[in-house]
Amino acid sequence: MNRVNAFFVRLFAFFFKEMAEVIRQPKLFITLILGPFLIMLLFGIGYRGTQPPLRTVFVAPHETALSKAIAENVALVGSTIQYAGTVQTMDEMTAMLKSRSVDLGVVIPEDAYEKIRQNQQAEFKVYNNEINPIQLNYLSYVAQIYVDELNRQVISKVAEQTQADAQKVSGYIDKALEINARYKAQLQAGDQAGASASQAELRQNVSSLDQAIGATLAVLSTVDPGISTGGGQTASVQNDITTVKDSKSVAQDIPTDKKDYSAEIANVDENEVVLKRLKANLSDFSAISPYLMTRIFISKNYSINAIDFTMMMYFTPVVIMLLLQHIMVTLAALSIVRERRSGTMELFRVSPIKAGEVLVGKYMSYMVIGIFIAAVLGALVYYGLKVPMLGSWRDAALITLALLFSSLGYGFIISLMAGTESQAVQFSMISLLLSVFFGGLFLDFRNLVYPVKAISEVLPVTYGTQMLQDTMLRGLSFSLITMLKLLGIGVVTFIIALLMMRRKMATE
Amino acid sequence: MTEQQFAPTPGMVITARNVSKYFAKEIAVNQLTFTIPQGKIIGLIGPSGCGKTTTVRLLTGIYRPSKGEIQVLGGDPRHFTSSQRERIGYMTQLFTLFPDLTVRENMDFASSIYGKGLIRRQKRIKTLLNFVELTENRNKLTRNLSGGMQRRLALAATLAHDPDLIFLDEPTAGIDPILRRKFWDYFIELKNEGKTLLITTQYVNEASYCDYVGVMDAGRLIMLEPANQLMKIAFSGEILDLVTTTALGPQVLDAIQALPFIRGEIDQIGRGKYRMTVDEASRSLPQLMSWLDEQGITVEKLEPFLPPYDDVFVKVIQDNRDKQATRAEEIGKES
Repeated sequence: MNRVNAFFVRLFAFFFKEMAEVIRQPKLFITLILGPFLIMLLFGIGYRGTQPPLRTVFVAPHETALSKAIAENVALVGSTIQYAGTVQTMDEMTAMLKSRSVDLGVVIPEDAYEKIRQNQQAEFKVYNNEINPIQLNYLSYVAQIYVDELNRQVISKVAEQTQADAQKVSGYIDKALEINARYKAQLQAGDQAGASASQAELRQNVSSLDQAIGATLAVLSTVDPGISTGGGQTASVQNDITTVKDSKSVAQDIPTDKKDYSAEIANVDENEVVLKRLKANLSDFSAISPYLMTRIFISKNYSINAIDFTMMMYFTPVVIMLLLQHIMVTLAALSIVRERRSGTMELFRVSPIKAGEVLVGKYMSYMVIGIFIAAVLGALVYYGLKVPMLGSWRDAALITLALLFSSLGYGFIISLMAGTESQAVQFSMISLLLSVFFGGLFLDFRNLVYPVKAISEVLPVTYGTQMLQDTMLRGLSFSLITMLKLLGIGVVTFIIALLMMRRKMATE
Repeated sequence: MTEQQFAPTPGMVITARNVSKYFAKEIAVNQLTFTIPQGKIIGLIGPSGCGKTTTVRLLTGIYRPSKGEIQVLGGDPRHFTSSQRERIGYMTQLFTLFPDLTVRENMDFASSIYGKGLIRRQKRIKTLLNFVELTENRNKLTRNLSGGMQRRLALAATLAHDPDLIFLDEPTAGIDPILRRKFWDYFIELKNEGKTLLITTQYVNEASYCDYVGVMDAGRLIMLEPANQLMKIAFSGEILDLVTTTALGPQVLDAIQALPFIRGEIDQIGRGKYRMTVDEASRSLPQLMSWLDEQGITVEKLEPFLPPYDDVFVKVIQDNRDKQATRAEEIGKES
C-alpha cells in the first residue's frame, strides 16, 4: 500500500511541478493559446483563395486582322488574363517579363492562315518568367484555356456561316414544296406533260438541296445529341434527303398511258411530309446560337455538403493539429534536456524515483496543458472564426487526445537525444518542417511515394488532420484504423522514450 | 585513516576497496580505499578536478566503478533498493532548484520524489524552513531569492526526506563567510542528530569542522585522517615557536636539535625567533622549557604554532607530488 501511495506521490510531484512551471510563465501560456488563433485569423483575413489576373502582353510584329482580333478578344477568357498591351518584338516582351511588369508573353503566329491551309496547327508561343513550379502549372493551364477559347471562337464563326448556309437550304426546301404542290395539282388534273416538267424541276431542286445540306450536316453532326446513340437529327436529315431523292415521284418518270395517278399523288404527298419535316429540322438548327454550339457542355460543381467551405475553414483542422503537435513536441523536447542541464536529473538518479514515474508524470501534466490549449483554441475557432463542427465534439476530443499523446512521445525522444536546449529546439523545428511538408498542410500526402511517404506515415499530424477534417468538416466519425495508427505511434514512441529514459537514469 | 585503521566493520556506512574510475583513457579516481563510520562529518578536500565529485557520484551510484567495490548502507550503489535510496540525501554542486516554483513548492517536490505524502511532509518542511531561516520567504518564487537563500533552500531540499547519509558536493562554494559558518553549524547539528555527512570542499580551513578529512589529489586519496591529526602528519609532528631575549648561538641550536623529542632542523624565523617540529607539543613544550631553564636561556615566549590549513594542505599535496615524482624516477631508473 505504501509503495502504491509513494508511486502516486512521485507521479503527481512531476505533474504539479510541470504544470506550475508552465503556468508561472504567463507570456508563454498566452502565446501558446493566442498564437495559433491569431495565425488562423490572419490567414482567414488575408488569404484571397483566387489567383490574381495574369498580366499578358502580346507580340505581333505586324498588325493583322488576326492579331487585332486576338488582342481584342482577351476579355472573352474571363478575368484570368488581363490585356497588358501588344508589342512588336520578342525583346520588348522579354524585358517586360524580366522586370515582372507582366506575367505572360504570347507570341501570335504570323502565318496562322498559311498553316491551316496546309492542314497544320498554328502555334501560340506562351512565355513566362516563373520559378514556382505550382504557379508554372497554373500558367500552362491558363494558356491552354486561352487557346481553347480561341479555337472555340473560330469554330463559332464557322457555325455562324453554316447557319447562314442553312437559311439558303431552307429556300431550296420552300421551292421544293412549291414545286411539289404544283406537281400534285398537275397529277390530279391529269396533266401528264406539266407534271413531268414539274418532276424534272423538283429533281434538280432536290439535287441542289442535297449538295447544299452536306456542309450544314457536318456542323450539325457535332452538335447533334443523337450522335452518341447512333440516331438523332443528323441521321434524320440525311434520311429525309435520301427519301425524297429516291422517292418514286422524283426518281421514276411519270407513265404516259395512265388515267389514274392516285399512286403518284400519294408519293407526292409523302414527299411533302418529308420536306416539311426537313424544313422543321433545319429551322431548329438555325435557331441554335453559334456560341452555344461551340460550348455545348459546361460543368458546374455541386457539393453534397451543406456548407460552402472557405480556405480558412479547410485549413483550421490542419493548423490546429500542426500547432498542437508542435507545442507538445517543443514542451517535451525542452523538458528532460532542461532537467539534465540544471543537474536535477542527477538528483533523480540518486532518489528512488523510477524512469517511468518521471515520464508518466510529465506526460500527464503536458496532456492536461495540451487539453486546455486545445479546448480554448477550439472554442475560439468555433465561436470566433465560425469554423463549423459538423461531427461530434467527443470525436474531436478523442482525436486531439491521441494526437497530444503521440506528439509527446516524439518530444521526449528528442529531449533524451539532445545534448543542449538549443539542440532540442532545432530538432523540434525540424519535426515542424517535416510536418509542414509531409503532414498534409500544403501537399496532399497521397502524392508522395515510398520511401518518402513513410515520413508522412509516422507523423501524428498526418492522421490527426485526416480525422479532424472528417469530423469537423464532413461530419463523419473518425476511422478506427487511422485512430489505431495514431495511437500506435504514441505507444511506440512512449516505449522508446521510456527505454531511453531508463538508460539516462541508470548508472554510468 | 588508512585501510588498516578503518577496516570495514559493522557500523561503517561506506566501504570502498581499490575503487578506480576511468573516462575513456583518463583516470578520474585511482585506487580509493577507505571506510566511513556513522554519525561523523567527513570532509573531502582537494584542488579542482582532483576527483571529489567523481568520488561522490561513485558513492551515490551515479557512476559505476571501473575497478573495485563499494558498499554504501550495506548495498552496492549500482543496485540500491528504494529503501536504501530513501536514506540518502544528495546536494549537487549546481543549484538543483526549480526557479519557477516557490520555496514551499520546491520543498514539496523534493519530498514528493522520495514518496513523502502531503501530510507526512508538512511538519518536516516547516522545521527545515525554520532551520534554514526561509519560513518568511516560503511563498517567494525561487528565481527571486538571493544566491545565499537559494543555497539554503537547496540544502533544506536535500534534507526534506530526512536522510541518514548526506552527500554535499561543495555546498559552501561561492557563498560569503557568514553563510558558510552557518552552513557548518547546520552540518554539526545534523551530525549531532546521528547523521553521516560526506562534504566536499575547496576551502581547506573548513577541515577544522570535520571529524575526518580526506585529502585528494590527481584522483588519489592521499590521506583520510581525523582533522586534528592532519597537521601532525603533514609536518611529521607538531610545531613550537620559541622567542628568546638574545639570539642563540650555533652550539645551542645544535644542542636543542639533538634533544630526543625534536624532529628535523630548527628554522630561524627572525632575530631570537625559532620554529621547530616536535613529536607532540603538549609533552615536548614543558620538557624544552626545563632544558632552556637549565641552560640559563631567558625565554620570552614558547608556544605551539598552528599553521593555517591552507599551508597544511599545500604541504600535504606538495609532499605527495614529490613522493610520486621520486617514485616515478626510481621506476625509470630500475627499468
